[in-house]
Amino acid sequence: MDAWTWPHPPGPPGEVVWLAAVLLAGALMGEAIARTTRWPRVLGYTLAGAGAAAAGLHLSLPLPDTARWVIDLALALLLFEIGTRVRLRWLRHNPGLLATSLLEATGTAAAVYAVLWLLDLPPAVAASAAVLAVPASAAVAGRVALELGADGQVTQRMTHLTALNTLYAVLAFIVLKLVLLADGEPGWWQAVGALAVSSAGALVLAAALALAVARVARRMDLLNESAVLLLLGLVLLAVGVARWLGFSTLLVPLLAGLMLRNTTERPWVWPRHFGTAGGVLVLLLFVYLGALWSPGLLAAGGVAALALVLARSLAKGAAVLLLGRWSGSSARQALALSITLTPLSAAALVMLGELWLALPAVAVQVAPVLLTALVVLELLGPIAVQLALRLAGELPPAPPETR
Amino acid sequence: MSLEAFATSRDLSLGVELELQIVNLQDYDLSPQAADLMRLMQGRRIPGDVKPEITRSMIELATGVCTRHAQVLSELGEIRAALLDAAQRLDVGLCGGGTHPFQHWSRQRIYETPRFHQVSALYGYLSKQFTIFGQHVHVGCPSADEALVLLHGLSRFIPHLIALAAASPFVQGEDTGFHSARLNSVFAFPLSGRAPFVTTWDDFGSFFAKMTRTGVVTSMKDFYWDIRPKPEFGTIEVRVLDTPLTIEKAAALAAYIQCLARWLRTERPFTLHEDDYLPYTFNRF
Repeated sequence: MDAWTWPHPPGPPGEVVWLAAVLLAGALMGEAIARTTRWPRVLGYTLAGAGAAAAGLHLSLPLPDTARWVIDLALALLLFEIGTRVRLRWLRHNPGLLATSLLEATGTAAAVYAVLWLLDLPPAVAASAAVLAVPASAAVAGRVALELGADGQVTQRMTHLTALNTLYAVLAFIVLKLVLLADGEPGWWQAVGALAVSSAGALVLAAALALAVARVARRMDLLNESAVLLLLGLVLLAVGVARWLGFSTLLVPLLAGLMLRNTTERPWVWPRHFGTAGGVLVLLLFVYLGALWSPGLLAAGGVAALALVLARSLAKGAAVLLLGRWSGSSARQALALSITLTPLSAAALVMLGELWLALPAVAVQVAPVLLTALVVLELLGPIAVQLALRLAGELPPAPPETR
Repeated sequence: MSLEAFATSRDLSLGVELELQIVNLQDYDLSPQAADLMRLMQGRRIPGDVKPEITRSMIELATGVCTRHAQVLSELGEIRAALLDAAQRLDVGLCGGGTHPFQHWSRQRIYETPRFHQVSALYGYLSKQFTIFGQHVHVGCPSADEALVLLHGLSRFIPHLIALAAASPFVQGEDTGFHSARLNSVFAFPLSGRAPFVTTWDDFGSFFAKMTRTGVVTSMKDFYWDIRPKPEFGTIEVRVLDTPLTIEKAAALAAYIQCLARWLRTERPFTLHEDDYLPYTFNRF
């Protein structure tokens, strides 16, 4: 008789093992980047994902359930946070900034549509990619600024422009999806009606979330650990309900954050990304984003993706530089600000996932272009943001203390 | 470098400087945006002027030469309006108070000028801890000797002025128990405290010459006294006040100092004596 039998026969490793592996790889790469270079840690997370993809473990659409949940939840936290840092009153006092925001978003969509159309992509594909190329990354902007301790006008404007272009993109996407589903039939009224219904629904849910957070804040110190967990739970619950009812999981947390910021002058102070628990989700988000590429995808979408990246950067840069003076920036700050808008938001991935469910035929063609662009920009993004913030003089002079 | 000549100024004229805090409107921590404010203030017509201070989250406004309380108040109001307009375009807040309640000194950044970098190199962390906000009041004096006499006369009222203006109970997130904790940061500097007891400009000149020969000072700016002569303006400068929370209070404090100066000048109510300074450092609390 063999004494060395396993208690249970080993099957394939489950989801938890994979999740743990992703977490470990991300944490180790992040630490390695932080120790050997002066680049932000998030670059390491994305590299870990990209490495896994190179070893054949890439993520492909439609995303597996775990990845979808992690991305939804992490993004919800980041959008909620960035929402609570946007003061709409600033846009009233500084119309130049509002104009910059509108111009960079519409300019990006127009430029991306134009180049993809020139590359002979079908209009529906070009239009979808154009809308999905609009949002700048709340995750990269938020993480890098936090990690490096950046503070100043460029940091502040980056936050506002990022939150706003994400908002525009999500709204535009709802309309676009309806127009495409109506297949060219003039369903404008229908589209507007549906937009109204989904924004109203998201608005109600966001208001409920904002109210609940405000209630918690009245009773508890938000820096306290149990209050943080309560907040985290509330945001996650809101996202879960939004997904269940079919509202945008991007719109609800973003709007809730905006409501909290703009209904009171009170400061909202809580640990970034809601402490360690939220930090884990954000780390996983970056690893997943890095793992989205594969050689096949690169071959299919490479040229168009490169064109998209260039058109996008040029459009954003031109808009910000053109209106920089009016909005009260120096030329150097405008340049830095335009660079900080380089990273593409994971919100684009979530919207691509929705497109996949609604219009698979279009999504299949958008995916190679958008995913390649997303991975490229996610790798370049943190470095670009760091260089831009240094250019603007908004990083602390000494290396920041380890956190 | 020798002591410059004492310029003449109109007797009992007033000038007020206020150092203000630049805070973000998210969590109201100090925010290093003085250079942006300075850029937006360029070309605006205001009485007096606006200047950067040693760390990048401070900004200083100054009235022109005023004669009366009403003029001080209206000039402060005009400058405040212009500054607030610029601040709104940047979405930052400006506020009074002698210290920021919870900023962390080590996170402060030195403003980019050669002088500030020199001070920072000399005093190290002390210069970052110097992120404190005061009101300075200049009083015009007809002559240098009169200025020194007025300076030592006003010294008796330093405790009163500190008490009236006190607006800095919190430092680095702690309740200090002091009403004006800001002065303790000034105290850390070796050349703080009081001016030497000399009542003629000649004697002051020889004191200054001795100090420069030691290499400790190169200009009047190196002294951080509670009241110091400002030969370039022909004034003495009272520097113990915390920046109050309103410009109305700032103007009232300036007017009070003007009244005191006039009373000391015209009535000569007491004879000056070095012994007046015996309880000085204690009373300064």
